[in-house]
Amino acid sequence: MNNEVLMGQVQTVLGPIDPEDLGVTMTHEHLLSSFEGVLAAPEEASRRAQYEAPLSMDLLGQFYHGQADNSSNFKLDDIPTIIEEVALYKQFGGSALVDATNIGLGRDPIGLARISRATGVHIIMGSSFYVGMTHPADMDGRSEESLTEQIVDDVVRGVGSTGVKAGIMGEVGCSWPLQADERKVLRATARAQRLTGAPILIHPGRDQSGPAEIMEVLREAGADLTRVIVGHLDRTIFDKRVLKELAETGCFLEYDFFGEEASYFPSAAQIDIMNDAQRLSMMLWLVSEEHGGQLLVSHDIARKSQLVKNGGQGYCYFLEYMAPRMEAKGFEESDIQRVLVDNPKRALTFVEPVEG
Amino acid sequence: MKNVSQTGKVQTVLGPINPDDLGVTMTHEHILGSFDGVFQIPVEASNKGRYEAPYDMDVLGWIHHGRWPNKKNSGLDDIPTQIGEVGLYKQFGGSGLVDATNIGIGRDPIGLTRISRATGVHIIMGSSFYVASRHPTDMDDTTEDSLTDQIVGDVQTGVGRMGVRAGVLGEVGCSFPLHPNERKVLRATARAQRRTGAPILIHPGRDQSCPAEIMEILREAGADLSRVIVGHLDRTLFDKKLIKQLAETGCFLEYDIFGQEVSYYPPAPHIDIMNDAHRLSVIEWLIGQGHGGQIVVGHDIAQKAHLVRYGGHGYGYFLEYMVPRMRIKEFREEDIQRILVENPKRALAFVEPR
Repeated sequence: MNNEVLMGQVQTVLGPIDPEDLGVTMTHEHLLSSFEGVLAAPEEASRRAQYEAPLSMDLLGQFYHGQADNSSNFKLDDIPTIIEEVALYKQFGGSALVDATNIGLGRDPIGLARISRATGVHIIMGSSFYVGMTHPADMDGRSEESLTEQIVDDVVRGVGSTGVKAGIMGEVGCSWPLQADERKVLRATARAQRLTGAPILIHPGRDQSGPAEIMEVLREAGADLTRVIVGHLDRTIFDKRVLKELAETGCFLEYDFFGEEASYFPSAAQIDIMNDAQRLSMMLWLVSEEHGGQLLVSHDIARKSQLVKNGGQGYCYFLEYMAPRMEAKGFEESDIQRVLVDNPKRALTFVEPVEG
Repeated sequence: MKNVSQTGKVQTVLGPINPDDLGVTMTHEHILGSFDGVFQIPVEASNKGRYEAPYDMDVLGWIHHGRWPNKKNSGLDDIPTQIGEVGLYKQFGGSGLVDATNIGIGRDPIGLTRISRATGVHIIMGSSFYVASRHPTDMDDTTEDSLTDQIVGDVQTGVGRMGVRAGVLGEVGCSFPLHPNERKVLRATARAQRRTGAPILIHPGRDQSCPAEIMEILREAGADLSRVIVGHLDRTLFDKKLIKQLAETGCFLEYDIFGQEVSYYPPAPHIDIMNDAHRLSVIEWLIGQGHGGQIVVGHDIAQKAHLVRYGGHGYGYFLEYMVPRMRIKEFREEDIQRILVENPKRALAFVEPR
């Protein structure tokens, strides 16, 4: 089922494009999504009421500091709102966005096509599966082959009857410790990469040893590790030796929580999350270690409270706030260009399938 | 003019109290205050538009990330709102609050008494002067003696004719480099401390060398450095050797920007500000160095965007979010208790005037 037409192109929701036309790209966002599957309604009555309440200004502090979940907040579901937010991104110089929403997270192919047409921003849609708790109910009984076929179909034929094709396989969800079905999905995704030449995007488990274990599973299943983006490094790897080992696999290194500066990380209270200054310092160190060609950045916008409309950073934050700060911190102009344009272009361009 | 009845007491806006009744205290907040003029008004038309925009959710991101001020954000000026916010603090176990608002930034003695009566929270009001840009226009010509008299008057007879007395001399504003008038205010404040026995609270300039320079001026002017709280350490001292040197003066060490975790610091863009995790790890280190008896905390709430009502963290943040996190980080309960209760009590109780 391979499709050699895709080789050398980036596949957007409106069709393949020349990688030279991609431009400034954030490689890990959500435009339309629902993370209800990962939330648990709190037990305490007053917290439950807040969980169910509509978004309002007085709830924002709790969301920001990560102490409270809210079922409405964790859904990006209003197309006109997202069109405005993506248009703001374009106003600040943005040209393309990866929507890492995949199977089980409310992926919305037609919605993405509408947003792309309305804004002129290139959108790359995800495939494969998020973490175990959002897997389809029949995942235990699914064979690796059937998962591979489904992922390949998303990329080559399009999702269902929409005709909208995925341009990336991810974010592939990994818990800590890695679940058996997540291993199966990783292997199926590696296999689908061999059949399509598409890039892989990983959501690693929340432990410093998570990425290395995942890379080993992918390598054994035949993936090209130089075509893998490892996401969420800002909450995963803090030890520079571990980071260096990962970088030496040749994968792309993604810092994708820009604009999130609260140090408390609710899903893993023992982790002190990085702030923007620390992210930039880590990136500067990676540049000095000759890994500047592997860096990617993003915001992982997934909540209403992260939109500009609702007091958040928005898809435009990196371009509006961080790019000027990078100059002040001593990044070369050419490094900024690599992070924003050249690396995403290389990461997202399909290569020749090795199988099929 | 000496008022010996203040010795051994904490002076709140409703009168002196026994320090044992003070309870959990944040030592650096603003309850009512106006920081107009601290932000530069943008010149570009659209940014000025943002500055003047109505205070809706869509301005919070700009405010939060510190780039675009908003006119309506800069004042804490609505008493019912503040009663609601201080009431939340009490719900989470708060008992005392220092309002570090002093002369020139909208200090509001009667407003503070209303909030204290409405909530039952002890409020300690400030005196002395904030940074030079907010000094009275006649400051160049005002003598050190007359400044001392004014500060002592605030503490001993109350502000104006309202009878509401200051319980702390601060936050004494220092710029970097230190302005000559700020030196004068520091000396007058040190002398007012000798005459009243009141504690001093310092807002240092934004440079690592500032706290030591300020302490030296205070020492020369006769202040008791063990009765000085040095604020804003979370944006001032990053070098542990310098923190240790400051700690060895015996002063109180205040980490008072809890809840603000944005790393970009508009008044000094070269400084990457600490987040809450950093603050707790420095505090943990100070405890390990034997300085746990000098640590006090606060949020320096100073804008509407810091209030819970407007999407911020609020006066109760440390109690709601940080205390559980200190337990996750394995702080001992007795250290938490020292920081919240014992140290503020010692910092705020008046000593015998000299």
